[in-house]
Amino acid sequence: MARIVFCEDEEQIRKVIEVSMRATAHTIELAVNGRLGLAAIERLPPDLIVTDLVMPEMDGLALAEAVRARPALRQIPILFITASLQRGVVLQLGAHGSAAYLAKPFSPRGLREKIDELIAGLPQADPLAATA
Amino acid sequence: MVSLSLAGVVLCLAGFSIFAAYTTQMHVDEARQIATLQESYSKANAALLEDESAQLEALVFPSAERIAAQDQAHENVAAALREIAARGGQGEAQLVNDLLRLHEQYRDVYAVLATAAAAGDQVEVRRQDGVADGIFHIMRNRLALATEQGQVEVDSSFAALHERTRWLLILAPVVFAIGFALLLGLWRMLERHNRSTRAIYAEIEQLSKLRGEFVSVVSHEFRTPLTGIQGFSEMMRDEDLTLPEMREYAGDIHKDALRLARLISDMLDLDRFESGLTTAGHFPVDLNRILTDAAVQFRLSAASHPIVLELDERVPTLIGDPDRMTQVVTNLLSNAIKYSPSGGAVELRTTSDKAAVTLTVRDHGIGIPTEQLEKIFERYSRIETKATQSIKGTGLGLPIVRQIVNLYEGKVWATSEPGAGSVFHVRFPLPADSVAPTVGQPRLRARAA
Repeated sequence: MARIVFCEDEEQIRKVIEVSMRATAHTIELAVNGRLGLAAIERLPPDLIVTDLVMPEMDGLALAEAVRARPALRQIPILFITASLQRGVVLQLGAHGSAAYLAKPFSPRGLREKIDELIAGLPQADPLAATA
Repeated sequence: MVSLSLAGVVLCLAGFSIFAAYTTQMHVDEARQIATLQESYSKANAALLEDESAQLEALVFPSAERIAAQDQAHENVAAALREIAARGGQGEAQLVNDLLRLHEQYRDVYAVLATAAAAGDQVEVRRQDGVADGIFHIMRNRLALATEQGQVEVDSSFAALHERTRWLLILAPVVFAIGFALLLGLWRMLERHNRSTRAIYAEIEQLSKLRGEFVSVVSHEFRTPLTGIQGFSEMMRDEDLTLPEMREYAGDIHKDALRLARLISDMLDLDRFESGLTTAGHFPVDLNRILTDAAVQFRLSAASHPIVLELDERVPTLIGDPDRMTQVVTNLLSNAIKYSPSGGAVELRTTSDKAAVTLTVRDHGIGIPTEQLEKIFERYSRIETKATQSIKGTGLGLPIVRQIVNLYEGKVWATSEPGAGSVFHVRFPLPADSVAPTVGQPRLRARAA
């Protein structure tokens, strides 16, 4: 049982996430952009952050930077959901010390498995090896 | 290819120069050789004359020195003849051979003459003198003949040389002028080639940039609805859902499928427009009605953007394709809303005069930099700035608008004050024969397909 904050601006994808997580024991909170997501994270630090990359007001990379800049939040793993798992994007994410990546379109089961792995603290494979 | 031709021209010029120099040198050598031979002939002639006087002197006034001089004169003649043989060719060798033989006889006759003179045999002296004189004249005649012939050869050789060099003098400037012209042509060709190559490279670069943008747009815009389709269908397959839940998710999948279909049809539309495959429809179009319907539609989905209509009732019924016109209005309206992230009214206005019907869409959004006002109508050329990076779009909407407007010979353009909003203007010309917009049936003239 963990607390997870999701940041995603696309309504359809927020709904996919919400429905996918219904069957799990986790508590989830959905934010429509990075700014609102950061507010939710600061209010009550979650066990995991799942965020989209391209969002209005504050994008995923800016959110990750803001989280890493706060000592109290630095240890929270971040799962990025990206539309394009291209080498350049992955390298950029790597520079933000992120925990894992999931490419759109993703399957609800894939999302749940990834979340469980991250919460259990399992080491993540190097995504560059897969995209090279 | 070009450098090869260049090398060819240079090689030709060099070859011609070498040929010209060689021909000239050949003639000069030949003439010089004949001239040397002539010199030997006259030397032999002189030696012959000297020989005769030496023989006569030794005969008339015999002394030890004169007899020695007589032998020396004989030797001189032989040496001069051998020199001719050495300098000449086959013909000269034959001549010299004959002359040496005659000279030998001449010598022998003088020996007999000297004996007869010593013996005082006048008859024998006269006879031998006649023989000697005869041989002497034969030798001189042969030499004179050879000399004359040689002179003719010298003359003709020099004449030929003169002829040849004159030809070269005329030809050389012509050849070099042609060579220069070829070089100039080659250089120009090279320049043009370079320029067109640079242009092609620029075009390829532009195309590959567009392609890159297209790929990133497609990958982003397609993945969002695909996520919905994949997610909801997977849950419908794997989870125990109630019928209302099933219906709801099926509706979500349907919505995403429509979104994908719209994306694909936009892309195909644009392709068809750009390749000139679309023909203009000829149906009555009520522009004001289309605007009113679109406003109703958008008021539902974009509540934070009040839509203000200012419609000119005198706008005539146009002839065109209502679906296409709806597409124009929808694309402009959704852009106006999309690029006004902080809300604000969107104003739709129509006006008409004798010449044209004009539609304007005004927003109070982020605006468009002046240098981008034309570029936004190009395919996939969304403006990438801090302000637009979080606004999603395919970059297909405005290019489609322009293509449709062009199909009906209209014009679309944008004006903007960055930070304060943009205005999109669409102007459809009315045919000149319509007396007044309110009278008769003014129509949009369709371009011949």
